[in-house]
Amino acid sequence: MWLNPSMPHRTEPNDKASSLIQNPLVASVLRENVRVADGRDDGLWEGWPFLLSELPAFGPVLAITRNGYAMLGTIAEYPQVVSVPCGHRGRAVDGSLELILPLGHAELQSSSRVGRVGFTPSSSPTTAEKLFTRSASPSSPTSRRFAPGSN
Amino acid sequence: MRVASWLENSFLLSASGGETLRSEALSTFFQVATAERGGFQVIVGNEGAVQGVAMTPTVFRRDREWIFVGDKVAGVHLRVAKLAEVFLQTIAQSLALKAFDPEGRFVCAVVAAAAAELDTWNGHLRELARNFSTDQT
Repeated sequence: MWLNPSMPHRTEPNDKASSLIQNPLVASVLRENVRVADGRDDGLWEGWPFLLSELPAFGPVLAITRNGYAMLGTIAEYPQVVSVPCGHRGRAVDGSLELILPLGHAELQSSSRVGRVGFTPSSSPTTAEKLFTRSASPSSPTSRRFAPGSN
Repeated sequence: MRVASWLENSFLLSASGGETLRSEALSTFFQVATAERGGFQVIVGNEGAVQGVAMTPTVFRRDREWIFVGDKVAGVHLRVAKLAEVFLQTIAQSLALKAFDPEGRFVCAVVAAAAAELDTWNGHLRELARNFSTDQT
């Protein structure tokens, strides 16, 4: 699975103007940018619930959740997702990652909203650090505490 | 009017009753936390999923309207320049920061780390509120 070089630079379904320049990682979690090695692009989506259930076997993965103004990711072993009354829920053993998926698996299959959740297998923390920091420019931290104008 | 959702109902993410802060409060919090290696949890959600991550940031970056804060295994990009509202609110006995977009949708929340000493944590956020409250003249 990789990013298609001709991928559309869209960050929100109704966003005509690209903001990918500011945050290229956003594109990696869009459905239209996900391809598998032989060029098929439909099998992965239909198998989403199965993929979720198998993720713990991958070992550490980079799990990402985003909305139009924030994108959060962490490398952790994907937790077992279990059914709860309002959907599904999973929590890493060490508490470093917690996921709540309010939709049922049948809804997950048909809902485009799940396209806002993505994962990328990762072999080392260094990989994530580089991914997360490559789009940003340096800024000096301040020694002042919580004061206006310190950022 | 805020968008009613399971997110707000389930995680007390409504900002009703919260103290309104200037949006710069969020990036200042992250910047100071990075400098002081302070740990916290970040929650980001949308209509389909919510993810919560514990981090002790070692990196803070600013790139135009975005900021990034993270450590070796976790990070968050935030479009702070476009945030509409940041609130300070008490959840149980712990203070939390919550950010909303211009349409009133939940963007993220910052809450205490699981092992945090609550008096210290709450003191930090109260200090932040004193400096960034919209009630200041």
